[in-house]
Amino acid sequence: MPFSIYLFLVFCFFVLALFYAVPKKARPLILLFSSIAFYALCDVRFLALLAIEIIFTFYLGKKIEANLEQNKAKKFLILGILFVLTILGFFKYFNFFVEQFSFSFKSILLPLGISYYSFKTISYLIDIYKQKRSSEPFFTFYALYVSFFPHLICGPIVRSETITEPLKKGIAYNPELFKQGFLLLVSGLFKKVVIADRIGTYVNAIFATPEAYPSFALLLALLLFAVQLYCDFGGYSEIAVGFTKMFGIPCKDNFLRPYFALNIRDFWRRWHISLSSWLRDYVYIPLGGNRLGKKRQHFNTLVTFIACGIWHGSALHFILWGIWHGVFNTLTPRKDPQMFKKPLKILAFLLTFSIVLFGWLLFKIDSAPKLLQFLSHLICDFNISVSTISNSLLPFTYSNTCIAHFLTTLAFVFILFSQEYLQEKGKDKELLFFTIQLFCVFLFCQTGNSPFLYANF
Amino acid sequence: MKKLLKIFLFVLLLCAIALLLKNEFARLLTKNSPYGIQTLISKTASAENLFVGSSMFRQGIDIFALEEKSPGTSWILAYNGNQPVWEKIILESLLNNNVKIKTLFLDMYAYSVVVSPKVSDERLFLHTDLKTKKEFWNILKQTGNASLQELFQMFVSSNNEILWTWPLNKKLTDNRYLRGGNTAFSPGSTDSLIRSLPPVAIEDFSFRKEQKNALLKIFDLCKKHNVNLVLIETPKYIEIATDSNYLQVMTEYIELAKTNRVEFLISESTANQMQQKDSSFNYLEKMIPFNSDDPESFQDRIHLSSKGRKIYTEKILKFFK
Repeated sequence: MPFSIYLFLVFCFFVLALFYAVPKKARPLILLFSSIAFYALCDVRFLALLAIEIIFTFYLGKKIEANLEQNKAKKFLILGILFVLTILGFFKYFNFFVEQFSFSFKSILLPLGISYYSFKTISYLIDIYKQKRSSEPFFTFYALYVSFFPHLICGPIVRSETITEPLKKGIAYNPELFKQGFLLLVSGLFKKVVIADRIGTYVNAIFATPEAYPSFALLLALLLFAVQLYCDFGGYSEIAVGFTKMFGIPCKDNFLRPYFALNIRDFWRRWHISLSSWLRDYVYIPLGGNRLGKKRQHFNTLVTFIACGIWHGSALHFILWGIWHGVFNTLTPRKDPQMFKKPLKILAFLLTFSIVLFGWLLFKIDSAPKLLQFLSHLICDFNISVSTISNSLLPFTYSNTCIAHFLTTLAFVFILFSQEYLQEKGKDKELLFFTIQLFCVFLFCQTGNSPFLYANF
Repeated sequence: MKKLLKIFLFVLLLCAIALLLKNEFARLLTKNSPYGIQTLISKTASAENLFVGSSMFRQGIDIFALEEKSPGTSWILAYNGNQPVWEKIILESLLNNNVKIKTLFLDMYAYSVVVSPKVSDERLFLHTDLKTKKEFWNILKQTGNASLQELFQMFVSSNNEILWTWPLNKKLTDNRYLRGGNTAFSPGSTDSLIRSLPPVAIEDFSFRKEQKNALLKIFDLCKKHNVNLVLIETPKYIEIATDSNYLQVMTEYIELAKTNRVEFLISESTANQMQQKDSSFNYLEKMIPFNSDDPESFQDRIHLSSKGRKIYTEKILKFFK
């Protein structure tokens, strides 16, 4: 069954009702069975794979802990990481190698959420090895950590304690946490079904045949793709974190107003925080971090970002995107950009956004000739006139309603970034924006079955 | 949490009121638009030439030339991807509102009769009242196309963008239309660009029963109300015009017109191909000559450019004479 946001919502609310209807002790079991049922409903073919990975890494966790004082723990850790990465690598990169080397194999499907649950299991094993935590005594809790259904499709990639500790203590209804969760849920829905899905149709049309549209449309599509990607993934993350909180489990945000970043390092402190902190803790720091001199630090940063690119997909353009961010990360001065004066802050914001925007072009377009064609059309043929603007807006609906749809999109994007701007300034008008967002979700949601962009990774 | 719940219920109530008002009364806003059913009902009690069909009419008929060179008032009621099932309801609505029609030109769009009823232009919901919307819904239900998603789109989400941007949107779009015809410049294309567009996504090219029944109903309505009816095929780009599936549907469409003694006008390529297949009927007599080979006359495979629109309207006017 294809993953649909509306079915997901129905499922979550059903489980939520069931969760609070049963005694505290039974609540983790409800979550575990719901997670299994959810995965089976989405893609039953790979349920066994998820189960094998959970069982094997749970067993290895025990082994690592039991052998910490002898030298065998490292062997078990390597075995565990190799096991997880082999499965991940096979499913994620098999098609890539088949295409690159023209092997006569059929392409294979990517198991749902594999990138996310694989990274969860790796962090669990490493944390035991580094004695940051002990191995999980209860299989139920560990299985729930890996398969927790709100986080299964697109993360966030949380650490095991985030899920297991509150469940062990026993979850009671916490009105404040529930409220926070509900606010996040509505905000996430606003981002996903009101903004991202609305923009998606336009962006897909332009990127499919850029040569058929005026250069202004290409610029608009690129800007909107940046918004779409953020609203799609950020929106899902807010929904996932929102439901986690509604289940009484505290959880950190995965996005923190990323487009208000003032340099690339700042951007990665705000974008897909759970992945960037995972890469920092399990790739960058083990490589030596900033402890081995400047050159080595730059090398480590670059390797970390290449890993980030590879995680996103089995194509060279994702690696290029990783390198692009890695290079700018190493070039970014250490000075805190928040200390800048206002004009310099604006300049830093524009520069950062431009770098990120070009990065999204590398992320979106999967071949060099297509990228060059897009860029040459965008730059060399650029002109603004009434006819280019009207022809650029037409793909919103391909009828005279395109202007209304464009203005609506613009208004929603304005609402989104106004809220974020106020939050940046420390003025959070949460109830006002909750009311506006709820109204928009009811009346302006897109009902098509648009998949989550980050579910593909 | 209580405050949040109160806000939630307040917003829900507000939305319910807004939707009730929208579904029954939003159509009144469109009375002064230069296109749509309501404008025709309120602005005039009669139409000499009424073109009812899909966006091909909006793009393919030059309303200025028609106004200038043909007697009486001409109107174009075009909705994207319009199908006979909806055209029948539109016609009924006009006749029930005492709009006098001398000649009705109905879009002979082959691809609209091979698909199951589906509303592809939300503006139909904007220009109609709750009762007509229910009729649309009933047709969808009868044909098994009524889903929760359709229901939501029809009664909740449709046209909200237009309505909340109404004053600005009206100002920006109204000057592009006159009595339903597009007056804005539509650039021509190139052969490679047209051919690079995604293909028409139709798998089954058989004439749908519900569309055929709606056409028969339209024929009856016209006879009953003394309306001259002419089925008219707008030019399609050569790639479609010579497509065997397209021609197969057109053959059946023409047969339907012939059997029911309804006047029809077809494009040059269709007429030539039909004549080759069947010499017992003079198809060339029903032909409106147009060069389907010239990409500059087309915006895409089915819509004419400004150049094509001008040429085609001149040819239609000659036929009128």
